[in-house]
Amino acid sequence: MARRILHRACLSAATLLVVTALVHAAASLLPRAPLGGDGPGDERPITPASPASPPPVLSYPSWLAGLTRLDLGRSTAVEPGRPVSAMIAAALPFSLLLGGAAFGLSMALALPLAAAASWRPGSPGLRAADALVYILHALPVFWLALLLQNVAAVRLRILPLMGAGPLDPADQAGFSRAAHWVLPVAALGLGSLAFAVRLAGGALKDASRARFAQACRARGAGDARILMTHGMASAAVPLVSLASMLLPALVSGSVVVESIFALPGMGRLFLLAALRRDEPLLTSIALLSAAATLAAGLAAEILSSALDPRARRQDEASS
Amino acid sequence: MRRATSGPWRLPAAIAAAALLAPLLAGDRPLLVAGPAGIEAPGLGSLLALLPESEAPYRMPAGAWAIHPLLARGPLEVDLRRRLEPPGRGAWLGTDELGRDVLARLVHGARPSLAVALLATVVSLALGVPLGAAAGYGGRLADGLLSRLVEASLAFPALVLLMFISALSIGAGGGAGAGRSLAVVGLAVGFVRWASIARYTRGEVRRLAAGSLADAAKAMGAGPLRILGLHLVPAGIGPVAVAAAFGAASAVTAEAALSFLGLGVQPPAPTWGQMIASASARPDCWWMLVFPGLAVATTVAAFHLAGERLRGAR
Amino acid sequence: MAALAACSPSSGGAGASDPPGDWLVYGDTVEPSTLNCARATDRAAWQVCRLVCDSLVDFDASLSFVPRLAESFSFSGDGLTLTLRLREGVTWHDGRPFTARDVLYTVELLRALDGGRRHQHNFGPLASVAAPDDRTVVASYREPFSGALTGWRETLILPAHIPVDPAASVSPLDRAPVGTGPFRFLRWDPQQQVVLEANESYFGGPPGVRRYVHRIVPSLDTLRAAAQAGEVDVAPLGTDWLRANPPPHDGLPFRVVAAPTRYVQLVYWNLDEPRRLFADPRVRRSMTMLLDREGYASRVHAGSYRTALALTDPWGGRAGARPLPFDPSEASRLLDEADLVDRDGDGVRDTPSGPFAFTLLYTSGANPDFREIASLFERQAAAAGVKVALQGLDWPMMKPRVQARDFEAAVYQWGLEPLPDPYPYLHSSQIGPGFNFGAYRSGEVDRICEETRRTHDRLRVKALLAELQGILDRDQPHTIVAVPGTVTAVARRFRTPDLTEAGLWNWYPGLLAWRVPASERKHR
Repeated sequence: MARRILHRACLSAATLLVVTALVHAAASLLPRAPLGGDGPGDERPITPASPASPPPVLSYPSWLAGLTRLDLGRSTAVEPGRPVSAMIAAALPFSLLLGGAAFGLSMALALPLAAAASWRPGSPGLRAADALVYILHALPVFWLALLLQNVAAVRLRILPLMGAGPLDPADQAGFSRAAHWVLPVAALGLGSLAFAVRLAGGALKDASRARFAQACRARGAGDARILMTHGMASAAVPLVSLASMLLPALVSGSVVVESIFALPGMGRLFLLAALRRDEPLLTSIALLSAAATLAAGLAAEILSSALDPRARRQDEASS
Repeated sequence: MRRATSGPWRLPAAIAAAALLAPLLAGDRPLLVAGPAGIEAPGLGSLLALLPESEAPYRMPAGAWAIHPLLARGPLEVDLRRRLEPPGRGAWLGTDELGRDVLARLVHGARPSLAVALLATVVSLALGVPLGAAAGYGGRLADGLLSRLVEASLAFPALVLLMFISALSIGAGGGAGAGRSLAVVGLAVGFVRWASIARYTRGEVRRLAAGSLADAAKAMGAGPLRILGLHLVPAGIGPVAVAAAFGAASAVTAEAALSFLGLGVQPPAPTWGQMIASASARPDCWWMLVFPGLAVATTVAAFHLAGERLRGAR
Repeated sequence: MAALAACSPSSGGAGASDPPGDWLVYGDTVEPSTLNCARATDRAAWQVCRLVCDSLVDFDASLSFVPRLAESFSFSGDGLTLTLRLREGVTWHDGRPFTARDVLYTVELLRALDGGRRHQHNFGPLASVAAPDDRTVVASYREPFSGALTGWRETLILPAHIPVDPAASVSPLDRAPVGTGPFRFLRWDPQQQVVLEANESYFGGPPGVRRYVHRIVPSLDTLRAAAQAGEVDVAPLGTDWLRANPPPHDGLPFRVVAAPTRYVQLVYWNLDEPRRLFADPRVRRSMTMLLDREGYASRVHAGSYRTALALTDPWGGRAGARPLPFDPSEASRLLDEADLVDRDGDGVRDTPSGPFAFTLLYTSGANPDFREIASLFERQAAAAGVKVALQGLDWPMMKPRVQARDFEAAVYQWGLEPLPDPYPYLHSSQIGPGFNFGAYRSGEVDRICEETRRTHDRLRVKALLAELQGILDRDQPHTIVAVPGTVTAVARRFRTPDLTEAGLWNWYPGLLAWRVPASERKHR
C-alpha cells in the first residue's frame, strides 16, 4: 500500500509542477496596469511607472524557489506592498469556514435525498425534490444569493445581511456571530447541492450493488436496513473523495458569495486581484486553489485505500 | 439509440431555432418592403450577423407596404421616454434602463449566449478529443505527460481559471468590443472544459482499445492512427457527446457569471448575463432580473436533460 | 452653484450640547489601498487619511480657506511668498510635538516620491520652503500661483520622526498611520473595516463621535440594503437610487442627501489620432449635437444629474456659455458640409480613406454611467450615418490606453478642484503629463490657462473663464455631457452641520461637528 501511495504522491507532485509552470506562463501575459484611483475622475496625476520584468522562462526558476520558501511576493494593486502570504493568511480562515459549513449543509441534504432515491426510486415526493434540486442547479449562484439576501435580510430582517460577525467587538456572543454566516452558507451550500446529490447518489448506488449488500439481502435483511447499516457505512469512504470533488465548485461559488455578503475571504481577494490585475496575488490564489484540489484528491485516495478493506486486500495480494 | 436521443434535443433545438431566427421575431426594421422601387429586405441583413448592430432607422418609401417582424422593436432600440416600464401592453416583458425592450433583447440574447456555448464546445472538443485519444492510445510517456496536463487543468476551479483568462485578455490589444469579448469568453470556457472532455475520451479509448474492436482491426492490418481515427474515436463519441451537452450547459452559466462579475461580453450586445448584471443594480425592477434568469435556467436545464438522457440511452 | 437638491432639513445644532459619543459607520464599496497619506491615490484612502492627518490650511463650509494646523497664513504683497504660522502645543498621536520640521520633511518627501509628481501637482512653481523657527513655515514661489492654498490643503503633514523611505515600496505608516488629526488609528481588519477612535486632545476639540468605522461592502446592492437595515450609518447610494426611490423618504431609517459634485462627464475626441477624423471643428460640433445630454441627465438619471453646459460649469462659470443643442439634423448638415457623405450607399458616411467609423472606449465596471453614455451616443450616431463601435475596458486597462492617447474617442470623467484651474485639462503642455488626453492645442487657450494660474483675483478669473468658455463652445475639443450628483444616506440620529457644496465632511470642522443626542445613541 505504501508503494501505491508513494506513486500517487509522485504523480500529484508532477501535476503540481505543471500547474506552477502554467500559472507562471499565464501571469507573464497579464497586462501590467498602473494603479491609482478606482475610476475616472478619482485619479491624481501621480502614476508610478511599473518596472520591466524579465521573460517568463528566465524568471521561472527564481519564482519557483521563492514558492518553496513560501515567498509569494508582494501585492501590487490590491494592498500595494503587503506580502501576499500575509493577505492569504488573513483571508483563508473565513473561506475555510464558509466552504466547510457549505459542504456540511449540502451533504446533510444530499445524502438523505440520494438515499431515499436509491431506496424508493420514482416516488412523487422524490420527483418533486429532484426537480427542485435541478432548478437550484440551473440558477446561477449569484442569483440565489441575491434572492436569499433580499428576502431574509432586507424584507424579513431575520438575519444580518453582511459581514463576518458583529461590528462591536464586545458583542462576540457565539449566536450573533453565527447568524452572520447563515445566508452565505445557505447560498453556497444550496448552489452546489445538485452536484452533491449526483455524486452521493452514484456512491450509494455502487455501495448497494456491492456483493456484501447482496449477501445481506440473501440473509433476509430488508433494503432499508442494508442501506442504513451497510450502505451508509461503505458510502463513508467515497464521502471523502466526494469532498475533494466538491472543492473546486465550492471555491468557484465562494468568489460570488463572498462578494455579495461582504466576507473577507479568498474568493473576494481573488476577484479584486483579477479586477485590478494584481499579478502576485492572482497567481498565488490560483496556484493555492489548484494545489488544494490536488491535495484533496490525493488525501481522498490515501484515505479510501486505508479505510476500504477491499482496496487493502488488493494491495496485500499484489505486494 | 436514435429514437432515444432525438427526444432530449427537442428543447435545445427549439432554443437554437429561436436564436437563429431572432431577427424575424424581433427587430425595428421591416423584413420585406414592396414599394414603387421594387422589393427590399432591410431587416434581413442582420440574419447572418452574430450580434445586432445599430443602424439608421428605416424610412418607408411612400406608398409601400411591408412585412414586419413579430415584435417591431429592436434589441438596441433606445427610447428614453419609456425607461423601466413594467411588463404590460407596450412591452410584454418590460423595458430596461435605456428603454430597450426586454423581450427583444432576450430573443436576440439567445444568439451570443448559444454562440458562446457552441464555440466553447467546439474548442473543448477540438482540444480534448485528439489529446485524450492520444493519451489513451499513445505510449506510457505520452499518456503520463498528457494526463499530468489534464489533471493540472482540472485542478483549477472553473471560475478561477475563467477569471484568470479574462483578466489576461480584456484590454490586451485592440479590436472591436462586443464581438471580440464574445470570442474571448467562448475560448475561455472551451479552455476550461477541454480537460474533462480529454479525460472522458482517454477513458473511452482505453476501454475500447482493450476490447475486441481494436484487436479485430489490428488483425486486419490497420495502423494505429487508422484504428484510432476510424474505429476507436467514433465508437467513443457517445460519452463525449454527453460531456459536450453538460459543457454547453456550463458555458451558458459561465457566461452569465463572468458578465455578472464584469469580466464577460461587452455591451451593447444583449447577452443574458449582461442583462442579469445590469438588473442586479436595480433590485426594484424585478422583470429585468427574472426573465433573463429564467432564460439561463431553462437553457441550462434543457442541455442538462439532453445530457442525462443521452447517458441513460447508452 | 445650486445648493442641495436636498430633502429633509438637517436639524443641526439640536444635539450640539451633548457630550461626544456613539459611533459612525461609513459604508464604502472599495477598500483603501494604503493609509500612508503620501502615497494615497484612491478616494477611499484619501477619505480615511484626511481624518487621521491634518493639512496646514483647509476649506470651511463655504469653500473659503481657513487655517487648520496653521493658526494663520498670509501672502506677501507680490503674491510670491506665503507665510504660515503653526499652532502651538499640537502633538502627534504618539505624543511627540508637532513642529515646522515635520512640514519641511513632508514637502521633501513628496519631492522624492514617484518622481515628484504629487509635489509638482501641489506646489507648482515652488522655489523653496524654509522654517525660520519651529512655528513658522515660509514658502516662496517663482511666480504667483493661484493654486498655492489648494496645494497646501492637499498636502497632509506626516511625522518626521517616522521616516518613509522613498525608495522602498512599503513603510510602517502604510497600515498604521500616525497623524495629528481628529481621529487616531485603532485597527484595520483587511477586507472588513478600518477603525479610528476620537483624538480626545485634538486642538480643535474632541470630535462629536467617539469612533469612526470605515466598513467595506464590495457590492453596491448590499451597501444599499445595509443602509436600509441600519447596518451602516452613512453610505453613498449611487446616482440612480433617487430614480427608483422618489421622495418622500419619510419611512426610511436615513436622510437622503443629494448634492452636485465637481465631477464632469465628457467624451474625448482624439485630435492626434492617425486618420484625423476629428481634426475639423465642424465634425466635433456635430458629434456634440448627436448626443442627447438633456435626455441623459433628466431621463436616464431622473434629476440627480445636471446637464453640464460647459467645462467651467462646476466652477460657477456658467455665464456666457452657449451650449450646443441636441440637434441631429443640424449635425447631419454639418457633416455634409464637412464633405462626409455616404458615397457607396451603405448607410454609413465616408471619408476619403474609408467609412466614417470609429471605436468609442468607455470604462466598464461598477459605475454604469459611462456605458450608458456610450450606448446612447452609439445609437444616436448610427441614425446620422456615423458608425461607432463600443469597447468597454475595465479601469486598469482603460487608464493606460487613454494616458497613451491610444484611442479614437473615449467616455471619461474629470474630478475638478474646487477652485478654477483649467490648466491640467486644456493646456497644450498637459498632453503628456496631464489630462489633455485629446491632444487639444490652442495658443489662446494656453494663454488663458496660464493667466488663471497666475492671478489671485477672483473677478479676473471669472472673466477669463467666460472667455475660455466662448472658445470651447466654438471649438468643442471634447463633448461635455453632465455633472453627476451624489446621493448619500445619513442615519437620522446624526445631527450634522448644514450640508453644503463643500461635501459631507471633507472640510473644517466637518466631521468634528457631527453629533448624536445622548438619548438616540446606538453604541455606548
